[in-house]
Amino acid sequence: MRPNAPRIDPTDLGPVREFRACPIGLHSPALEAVLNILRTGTMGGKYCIICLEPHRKWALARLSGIRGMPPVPVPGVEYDDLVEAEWDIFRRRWEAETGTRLPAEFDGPASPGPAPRNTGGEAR
Amino acid sequence: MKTLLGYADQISVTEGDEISFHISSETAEAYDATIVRIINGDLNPAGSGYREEEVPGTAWRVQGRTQKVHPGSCIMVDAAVPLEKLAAGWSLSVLARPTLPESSGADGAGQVMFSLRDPVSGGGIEIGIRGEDGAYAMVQAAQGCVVCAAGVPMRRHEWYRVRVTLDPARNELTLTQGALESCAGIADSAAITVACGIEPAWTPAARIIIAARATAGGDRVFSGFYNGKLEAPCLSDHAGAVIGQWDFAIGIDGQDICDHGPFRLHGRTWQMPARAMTGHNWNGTVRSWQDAPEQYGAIHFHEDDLVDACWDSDFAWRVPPGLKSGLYAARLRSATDEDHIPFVIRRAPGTGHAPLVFILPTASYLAYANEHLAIDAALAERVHDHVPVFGTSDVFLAERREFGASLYDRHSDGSGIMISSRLRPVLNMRPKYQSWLGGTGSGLWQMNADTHIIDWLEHEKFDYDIITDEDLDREGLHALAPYRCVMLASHPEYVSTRMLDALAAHRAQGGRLVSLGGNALYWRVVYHPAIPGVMELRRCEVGNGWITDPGESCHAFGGEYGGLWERIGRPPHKTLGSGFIGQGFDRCTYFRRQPDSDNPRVAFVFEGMKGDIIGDFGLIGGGAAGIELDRANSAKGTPLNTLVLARSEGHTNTYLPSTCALLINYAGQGAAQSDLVRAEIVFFETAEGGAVFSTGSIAWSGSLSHAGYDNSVSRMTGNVVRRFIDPTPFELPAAAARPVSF
Repeated sequence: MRPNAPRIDPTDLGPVREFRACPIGLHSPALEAVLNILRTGTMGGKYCIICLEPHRKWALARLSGIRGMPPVPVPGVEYDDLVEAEWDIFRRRWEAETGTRLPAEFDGPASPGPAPRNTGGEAR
Repeated sequence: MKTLLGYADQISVTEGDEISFHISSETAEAYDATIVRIINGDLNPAGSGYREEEVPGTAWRVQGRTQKVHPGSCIMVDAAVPLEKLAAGWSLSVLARPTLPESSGADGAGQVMFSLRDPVSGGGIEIGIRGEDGAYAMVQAAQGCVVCAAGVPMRRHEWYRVRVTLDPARNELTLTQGALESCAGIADSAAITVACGIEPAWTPAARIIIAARATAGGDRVFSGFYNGKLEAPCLSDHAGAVIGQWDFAIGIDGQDICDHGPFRLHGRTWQMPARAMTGHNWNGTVRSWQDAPEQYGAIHFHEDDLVDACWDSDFAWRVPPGLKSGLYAARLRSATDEDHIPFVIRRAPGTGHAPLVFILPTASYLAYANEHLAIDAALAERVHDHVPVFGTSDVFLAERREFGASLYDRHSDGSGIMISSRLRPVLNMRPKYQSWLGGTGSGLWQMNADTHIIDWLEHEKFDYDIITDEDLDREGLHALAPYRCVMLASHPEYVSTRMLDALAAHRAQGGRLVSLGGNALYWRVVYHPAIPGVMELRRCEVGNGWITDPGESCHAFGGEYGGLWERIGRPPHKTLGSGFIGQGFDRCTYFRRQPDSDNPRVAFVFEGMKGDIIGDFGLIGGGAAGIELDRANSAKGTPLNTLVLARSEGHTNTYLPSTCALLINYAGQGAAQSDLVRAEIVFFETAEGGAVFSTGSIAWSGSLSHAGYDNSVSRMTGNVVRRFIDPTPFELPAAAARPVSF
């Protein structure tokens, strides 16, 4: 960690809730800052997703960072929903970065909210 | 698990042509082969469904076999060397600028700069680099070898003169490694002499290989590939008389290597190392190798250069009459894998033509061929705001680097890959392929995204033909002349001069142009003049993944200056009305109609359409506006009569200006905070009675099939195509509109 690198405040769960509700799309400045921190680091060990069955099944893996060495699957971690995969990786990174386990409110499924829409279906 | 791999010898064929398929079955298992017509390559269950049609009478059972790829470039001298002239001693000098000096080669035996060895016994001589030892010379006799090494490592990207002398009379082998420019505190020059009482055990089969060594594995299987530049190798006899003196500044645009020596030991390059490279004497006063070839006497070799896999053909097929023009593939199925090897069938000459021609942008497919961006570089998550997803092919290529990479990637020595080829398996130029670049949803990119346009043309029952970029580059206007309307694909980013000339000539005869994508006609590329399917890119002035080194911005293939067409003076705005402004790869959004859309000149575009919003749906990122975006800008060449019909909005901060649109960095340029990065749907009439319509968005094609093809994107596209294939000329407006710029 660089001396002046920004850090994540583990008590500020607002960006985490925001990501849980909408992992891909328009983010608040606070969540953008968190994501920029979580996505730094070297290629070796960086999380990625391997598709096992198109549009149906995926697995967690880590990049090797070494030319000619493919991503290495994380044993036993598979997904049937890409959004859940995105959340799981966010959570792993957030907890590793802060050294703090996320509270129980994040253990369950995402709270059902309105799916983000661009225009609310103003026209087809 | 990827076990079936292959490529075709051609990308575009027509009735009566024979196309051959070169296959490797990694498990050597048998496979079924069938020709299919690809209609929709998208596997997304939310879409209109994957569709291919088998061509009757094309079912074969083929016994598979494994074929290997042997990357790495070098120079082969096939002529026999007068070994008797070397019996009393010899000397060899060469200029070298290593790019991986810390490496001792893939097998640890050295990166070979020059070798003259027997391919079977290995007897002979070899000069190369071995990591900390720096330059070395080896004399291989029947019973052993003698090695003389500088003992000091070379610096990366520095020029050295290496000279080796064998003096049998004195039993001495001498090597000098001299840096052309010294560096304070670093001792990287040396002169070493060792005793050498043996003679090279070469036979008349010994051949000169520059930048590699021969092996017993075959005439075209080498080892010990060198990484870096070499220049002016010269082999002399004991008295200093030249045996071979190779001049890489001659024939820069070809594969031949000229020997000025008396024995005509001319050579040929293998797997196309980079030519038109600055030599040790490049002084910065010239930018083009054609202006001063003597300053471009270097060749840059790479251990991972690959142009032609050189696989044997497994089966061939002669195209029968009567097949519809379209995108086809040889579908291979074994017990463990499936693959599709794509190609286009054109309408046969003399059988009429459709009013519409769809150009499959195979140059752009080659630019992205086997890309490793998300595996090698940290940018992936940053540019698309989610974790990259890799499919079976991506994981396979991450391990099997021998299949080469794309024009966005770098060689193992860090230099940019400037040459791409389809004479190798290109695993992301396939139906069913999902790309991390394709945003959320279907994950469509390039060929597979373009199948949505084919799918839509089929559904709408348009009469159309398909051609490829290679056809357009080779034939020019002749390829377009029969067609009233030309359609461009989702991302035709890479075009050659001849392709642009053909589009301009088509327009000059009143042709119409529909562009259904984004970031089109952006970079200049050059096809190899003699080897179809091989293409070069000099990515200069602004980079993407890499950038050319100073003085190396002119293509070896013909000498044209490279880079962005905008910087060459032919911006895409002139042809399309808009040009690349920015990109992001997370969510796609929609377009909102603009005041120009009420102009009676474009009433036909909006027939049957309701509301101001266009395309807030789609399989690519969830909307028709996204991925890479184009805008009008009359300051860059957008015609003044251009109408901006609709503009995208709602983009996230992942969308940022392109480097060509950004002259200086400053905060707040993300699209959620700045209005700069937007896609615009534009239209203008041409002076010759034609017209141009551009959507300015890569994601457009992913929205065509939404709601059973009954949607605003489909309707708008259909309205335009129907009018554009109508022979009624377009009329220029009485007065040009105001400039559109920002």
